[in-house]
Amino acid sequence: MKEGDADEIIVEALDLKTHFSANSGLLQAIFSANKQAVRALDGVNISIRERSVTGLVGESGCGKSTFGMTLVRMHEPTSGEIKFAGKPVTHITGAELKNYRGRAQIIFQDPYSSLNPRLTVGQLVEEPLLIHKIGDDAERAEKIARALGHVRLPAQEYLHRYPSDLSGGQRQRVAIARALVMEPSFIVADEPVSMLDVSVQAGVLELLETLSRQLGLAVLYISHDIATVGYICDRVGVMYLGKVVEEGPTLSVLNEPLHPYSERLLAAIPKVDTNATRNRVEMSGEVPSPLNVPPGCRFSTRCPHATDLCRTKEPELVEVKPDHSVRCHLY
Amino acid sequence: MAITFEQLQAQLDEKPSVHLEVLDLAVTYKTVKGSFHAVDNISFEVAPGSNLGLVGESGCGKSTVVKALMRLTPEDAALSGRVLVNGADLIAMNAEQLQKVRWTQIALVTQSAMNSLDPVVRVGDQIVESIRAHVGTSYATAWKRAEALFAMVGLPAARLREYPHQFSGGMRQRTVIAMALSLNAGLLLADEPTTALDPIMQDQVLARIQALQKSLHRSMILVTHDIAVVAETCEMVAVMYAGRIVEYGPTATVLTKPLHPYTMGLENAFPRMPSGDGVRPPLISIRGGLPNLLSPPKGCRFAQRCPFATERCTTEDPIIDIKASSHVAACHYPSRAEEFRRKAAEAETWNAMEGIT
Repeated sequence: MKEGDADEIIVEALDLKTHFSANSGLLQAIFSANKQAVRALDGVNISIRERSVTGLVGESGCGKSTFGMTLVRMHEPTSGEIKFAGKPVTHITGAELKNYRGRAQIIFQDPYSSLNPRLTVGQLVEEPLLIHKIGDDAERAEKIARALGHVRLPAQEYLHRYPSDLSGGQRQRVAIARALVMEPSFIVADEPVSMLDVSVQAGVLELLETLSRQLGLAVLYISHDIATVGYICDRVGVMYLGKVVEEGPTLSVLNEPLHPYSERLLAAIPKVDTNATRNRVEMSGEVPSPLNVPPGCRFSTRCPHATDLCRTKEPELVEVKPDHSVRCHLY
Repeated sequence: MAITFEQLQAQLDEKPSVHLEVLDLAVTYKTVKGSFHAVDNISFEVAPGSNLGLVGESGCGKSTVVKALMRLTPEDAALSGRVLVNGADLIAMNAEQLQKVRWTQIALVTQSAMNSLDPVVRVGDQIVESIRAHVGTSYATAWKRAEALFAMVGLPAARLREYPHQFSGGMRQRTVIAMALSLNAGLLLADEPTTALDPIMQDQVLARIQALQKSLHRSMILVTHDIAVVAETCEMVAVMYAGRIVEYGPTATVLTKPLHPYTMGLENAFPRMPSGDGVRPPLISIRGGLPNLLSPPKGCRFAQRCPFATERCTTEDPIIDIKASSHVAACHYPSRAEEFRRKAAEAETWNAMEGIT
């Protein structure tokens, strides 16, 4: 696609739900009358365009990782639909699923445990190609060199080194190269820099953004570090207890959050500027358990503005500002 | 003889704040490949009732400093220098003397609350145990103290009867903080106390610690890699790099007018929230990695990664003297700091350096 054309939607989630069974034992499964479910992901709509980075933020346990893993079909969705390049991939199996997994890749948080310490960088990057039976030796060597080039690790220098020789940032680059070698059109980056030192985070973030622009990749960037989201994301979604409560252009969401939860989340971030005074907002209570989702608005148990309507009727996602939607009865 | 709750309370309230002076502290590990200088002759001071932030990246030795201050380093680690707690040297103490300082004068909050609680003992009993190990008091009195502590950290007393697995991460971290506060120690060592927490929980835990520090006039050393947390919590800051303190001074001055190029780099690499118009300085990473501390390079340890390094930097060790001025740095060119700050804000300056992050 040429520059300037409207970028196509690569991945789309429609009312996607992933529930996990919470009945732990056999006896419980047989005798328990009402089956309990952990509603980790409870109806999420998101579309991710090519050449763009979409951010997803929220507290731990809000379902953001489950969403990423469901999109690449590491979890089986309970209901809803995932569309990839316009075609449904929600329930594909076998060769079709394998093919999809080649096109939709995921990068994990911890580059210290996601790379096999006994394989060299070259072998690590080659592994996905072998699994998918792609190319002969020469073709593979070329693809590996290209992938390592994309992450700016010169092949001649790094091909035969082991993960133990590499810094955290370099390891995460290898993990990204492993994803890129399959020439995917969609990448889920699940907290890719949270294990890295501040001084090297910047390099990996900048790399993700550049790759998205250069290769036309659709990237879902999952993070609890909201400040980093501001640097690389075009759009951002805020998740709370399995649902996206606010979604819009990054600057609009970060500067003028609409949902009371987003407001509190943003107010909790400490500022480097020592002159700035920040109003700390106390938030009552803890995140409710996804086993026992409150009726009505999910945030109503902790929201200072909650009314009876909030406690009974679940709000719909409404567009309040251009392209900026929120799930709240206040709007 | 067992003391009553009121007596215990009075005893704790009377405790003095701690004045900590660290002079030329060094921690060296002997390995088959030679000596590893994890902490290399560092000096700093924590005035009574004040907070010091200790910042730096993984491997810089900041957690080793904390362990040394509690004398918790492994047996094969050689400690030297002096750690003066209200004048008494911790390094020279024997086990019996240490027992009187640990937890009663210096308490520790570690990073992983999950690993610092016993999974098969009720949290209330764990707090009681930590109190009774140091003060001769009855179980009932200690339990009352535990209830008061839970109220301080904002947890309901009824949950003292629960086990750690019934708590969320934030509640476990607050339990560990309650435990560290149990004997109203004059100095609190907090090693990344909120790193494992969500932003909202982090904010609440920090607000809680800060309020308690202030009302009880306690001192704290806060170890973190998050300079924003230090900016909001600590009056003084020490920036560590490769086992040494490279910059030391009042937080506001160090963050706005850093003297050391490493501090400048660290600040440029730190992600910030966008301002209203969305204009923000770009994120810049520092090329290269930490030097090998088994055979540290000659001269300044940051020289290899420093865009302003000269020949002098690779041959002559810069000295940092905390007594010389209120804001000091281990750099040969403090007079050129203004120029360095200007250049350090440009990505090209750092990108010209070799190495991949």
